[in-house]
Amino acid sequence: MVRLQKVFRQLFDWFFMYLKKRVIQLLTICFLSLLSMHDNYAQGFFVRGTVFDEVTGETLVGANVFVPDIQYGVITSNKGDYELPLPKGEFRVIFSFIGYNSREIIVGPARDTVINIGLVSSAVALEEVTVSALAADRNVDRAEMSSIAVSIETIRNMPAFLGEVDVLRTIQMLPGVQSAGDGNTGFFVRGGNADQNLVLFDDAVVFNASHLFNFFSVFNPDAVDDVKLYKGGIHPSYGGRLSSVLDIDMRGGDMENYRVTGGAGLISSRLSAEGPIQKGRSSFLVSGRRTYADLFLRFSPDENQRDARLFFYDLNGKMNYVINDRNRLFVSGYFGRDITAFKDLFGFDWGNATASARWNRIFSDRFSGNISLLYSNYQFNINGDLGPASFRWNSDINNINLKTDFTYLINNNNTFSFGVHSIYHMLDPGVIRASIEGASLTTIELSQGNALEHGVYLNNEQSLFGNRLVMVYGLRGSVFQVIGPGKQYVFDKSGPVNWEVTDTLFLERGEIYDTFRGLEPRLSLRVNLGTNSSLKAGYHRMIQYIQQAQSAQSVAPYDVWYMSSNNIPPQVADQIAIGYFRNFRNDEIETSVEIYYKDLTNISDVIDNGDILGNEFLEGQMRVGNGWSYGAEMLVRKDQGRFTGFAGYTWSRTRRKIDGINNGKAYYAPNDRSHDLSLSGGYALSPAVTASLNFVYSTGRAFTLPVGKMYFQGAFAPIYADRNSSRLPDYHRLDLSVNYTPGGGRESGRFTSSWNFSVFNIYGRVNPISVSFAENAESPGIPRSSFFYVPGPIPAVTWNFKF
Amino acid sequence: MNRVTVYLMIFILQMLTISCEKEVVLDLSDRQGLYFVVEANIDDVSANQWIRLSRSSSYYEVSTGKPVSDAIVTITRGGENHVFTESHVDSLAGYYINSTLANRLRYGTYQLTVEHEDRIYTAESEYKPVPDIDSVTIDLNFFFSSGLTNDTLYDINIHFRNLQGGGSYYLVDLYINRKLQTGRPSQKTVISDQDLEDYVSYSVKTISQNDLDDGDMLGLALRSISREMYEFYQVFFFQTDLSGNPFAGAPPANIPTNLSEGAIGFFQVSSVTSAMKEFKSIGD
Repeated sequence: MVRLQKVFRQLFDWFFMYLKKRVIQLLTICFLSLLSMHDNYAQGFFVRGTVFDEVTGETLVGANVFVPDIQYGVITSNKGDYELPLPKGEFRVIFSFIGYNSREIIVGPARDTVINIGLVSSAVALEEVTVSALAADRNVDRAEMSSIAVSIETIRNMPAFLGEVDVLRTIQMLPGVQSAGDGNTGFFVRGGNADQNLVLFDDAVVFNASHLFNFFSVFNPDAVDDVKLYKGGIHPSYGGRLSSVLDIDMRGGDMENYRVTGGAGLISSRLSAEGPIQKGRSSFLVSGRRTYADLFLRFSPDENQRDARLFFYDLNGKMNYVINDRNRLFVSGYFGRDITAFKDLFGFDWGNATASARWNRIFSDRFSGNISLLYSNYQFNINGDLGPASFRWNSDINNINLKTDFTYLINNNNTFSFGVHSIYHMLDPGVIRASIEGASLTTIELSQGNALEHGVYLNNEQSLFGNRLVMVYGLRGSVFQVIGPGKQYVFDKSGPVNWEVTDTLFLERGEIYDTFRGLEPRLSLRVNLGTNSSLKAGYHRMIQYIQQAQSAQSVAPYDVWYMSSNNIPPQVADQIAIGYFRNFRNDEIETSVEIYYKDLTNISDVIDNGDILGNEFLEGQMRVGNGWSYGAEMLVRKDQGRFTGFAGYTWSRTRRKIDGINNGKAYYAPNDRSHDLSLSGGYALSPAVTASLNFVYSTGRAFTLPVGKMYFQGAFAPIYADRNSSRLPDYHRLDLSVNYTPGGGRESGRFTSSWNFSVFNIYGRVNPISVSFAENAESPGIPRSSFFYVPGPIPAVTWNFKF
Repeated sequence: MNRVTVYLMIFILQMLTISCEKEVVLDLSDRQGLYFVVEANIDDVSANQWIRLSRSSSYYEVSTGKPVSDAIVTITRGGENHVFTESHVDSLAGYYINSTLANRLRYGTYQLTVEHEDRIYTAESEYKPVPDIDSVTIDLNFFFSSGLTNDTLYDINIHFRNLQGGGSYYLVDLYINRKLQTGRPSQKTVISDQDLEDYVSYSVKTISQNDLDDGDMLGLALRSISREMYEFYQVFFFQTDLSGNPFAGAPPANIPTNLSEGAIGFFQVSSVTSAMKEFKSIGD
């Protein structure tokens, strides 16, 4: 394996050196060759438009647009748009989507046309639906690899934790994706840290996508339209994070009818309302939910628990406006809060806020674009009030993003996209204030920072040899500028453990102190091996300029973000992946195998015995070095028929080697999990009843445990093995869910409802969140070790309704 | 508000989350006696200087570590050799004693050499000056006397002029009636001059009035230490008082050492000054 790593490293070095010298020439050659491509499509035309639900007006993502006469098709984008290049002539075009009746139209002979198609929902979602041959073969046909689209219907059919359907819990069951663990925030993708995932909600960044320490996500399923995860082959329009992109779109609301949906359960309730503002032209969606677990704490025999508060709430809102055939406007927002408190003594709350405004414009039949203005905020507040003493820590991170993205159809075989993004980051880790009556105020001021991050990208998707080969190649250029006001520390790095501050540099407002830049090539290839199998390969480079200081043992809501500087350079990831995709039984069953290797440069970690909590000299506690992860992922998936589900397995390894940590020796990253298995299946017992099971298994988290102790000056101190050389017990659990829809789901009357009964962790497996060591009060000198864990089994009942 | 309080507050809040605790005995792949432990704190005050040698013990074992016998222990500087002789008193098993070094210490670098079973462990330490203590004061602690507790508490403060040139680190021990109160590493106070002015007034300890009687003599001993030893005590405190706190930051790692060949513990030569103050209760 060491030799293989060396080979990969040599390939990367060669490739990057070549790109640096030849990048402009390469792009020019590619562009000119695109323009000169001629074949029998030269005199053809384009059909483009939007596919939407005829009743609600909502766009349909991933709908199939197929031309049987030439055995060619495309699928709609995450905005519901499609562009279909055709040769000269007349053709039947079939529009289809799972759960909807297909429609067929005739187009041609040779005129660019805009056709917007509405599809009508078919009778029963649980009955087997016949779709056209290409509807489910997008996993084989698309050049994209290492990406997974999950429909909200699939998510709803999975067993729910405490009766709550959850987007992130579903994502975490996919191969290559791991949960940070019960009680922790975030998820890991292909060995990356939680802060290396770009989570977008209507294009706005979500910094912490978890409620209540990862028991729930911030995404209300009633407000979610489409979920897509990119683990590799990432389009150059995305940047700023190393490991993945989780792109979630919010629903826009029914353009024809008013509707109310909701649910009430043991732990939480939710309510959504949507409808037209102007029928057929504009719509709105408002959705909210709140947990009330703390209400049950009032009945606790423990006095301390009775006075505790523990809940979250969130609100989503979106407005859709069709200005005319060529212009659409979308405005959306999200606000959520988690609150934990004990009487009036202690309080801890955190949450996100996002706002998105997007103008979609079709300039011509070949040229369209989106211009977006986005805002994201994440903040947390910790406060304590003990009468004469008080304590307060307020921290937040904001960014404002202006995005322009354009698509130009050069010809039938080339789709060119480009864009420019600019983000203004405002990082304010906060000021920790403590005051005591009769004494002066104590403050710890954490380093504030501001930065501008720009990205410009070019990308082309090219089809060759009659679509048997598809190449997607692109380049993203990024620049990151650290701007005042703020301050930076200069460290004496000669110390054995800690770096000590030797100087402080104060940045004036608007002063550019550091500038970092980089080129991020992206490449994907797909070779058809037949009608139902393909071979794909992909490479991408990602650069990350802001990162989160995380405790290696847990990912917490108060982990602060900090930016690259002269002390902590930007992180870089290079990933190569190869995959084989094959479908069976007319695309009813999808299978795939992917292997990947990811090389990380300037990966950072906390030093041995580091202290990052509320540390104003945080950079002095971090060191940078190299990391690498590799693995194989297997997925079998069935989305049609009475039985649906998937099985995913990942074998992977993730390691780091950083001077100043673990004596400079390589060690396992805390998110290293050798084996990760997820099984999820649902069976429609009848039109009214569906039963679902989830089973997850993963190797125990890497952990640092003691291997002995020493006696020194009357006290015992533990002696540890290498960092993360031990393992917590393996994680596994089984969940069950039964969904009952009175009347079998056939809509009769305006009001419909369903019941969901679920059990989380049926056999009560003790899966540790963390391990604690403390002095044993009954036996001094003997330590006491404990697991903290989420208890099980946990039953839940939820009543869902719609009218 | 120091980091201790921050940890405590956040830790308490974490306890409010929905979680359970289960005591476990972990399979730790313990290897008893794997590490060679050296405890060597030399100063210019005590007539008898001692160095303790032991072996590490299993994590769950009740043991102060098996004493090491038949080692050759010397401290050298230039041409000077100071030999430490193994004690044969049962209660001092593993102790090696020298009764002449304290009077002969001169500023400069000393080297410790321990030879045992074909292995040689070494360490170096610089013997540096320490400033005189100007005064020791005992002041009422307003925070804890402001109504949170019925207990009256006092801050024991040390006052001295910092050494010129920067890079100074100090350790302070507390004595009551000549009895050491800060024997354990987590009880000691270590100070870095990074946060200090030229003239230092530092609160060393907070003591309850219930633990003092009028007329008690409170003594503070100020000791010069190296930066490495300062970090040693910082880490020792976190390891023993907050060990296992999952929100504490980095994964735990061994306490730093200045010993070679994989030995653990520390070797330090320090200059010491002291001052005393008689306690008189002030009242509420």
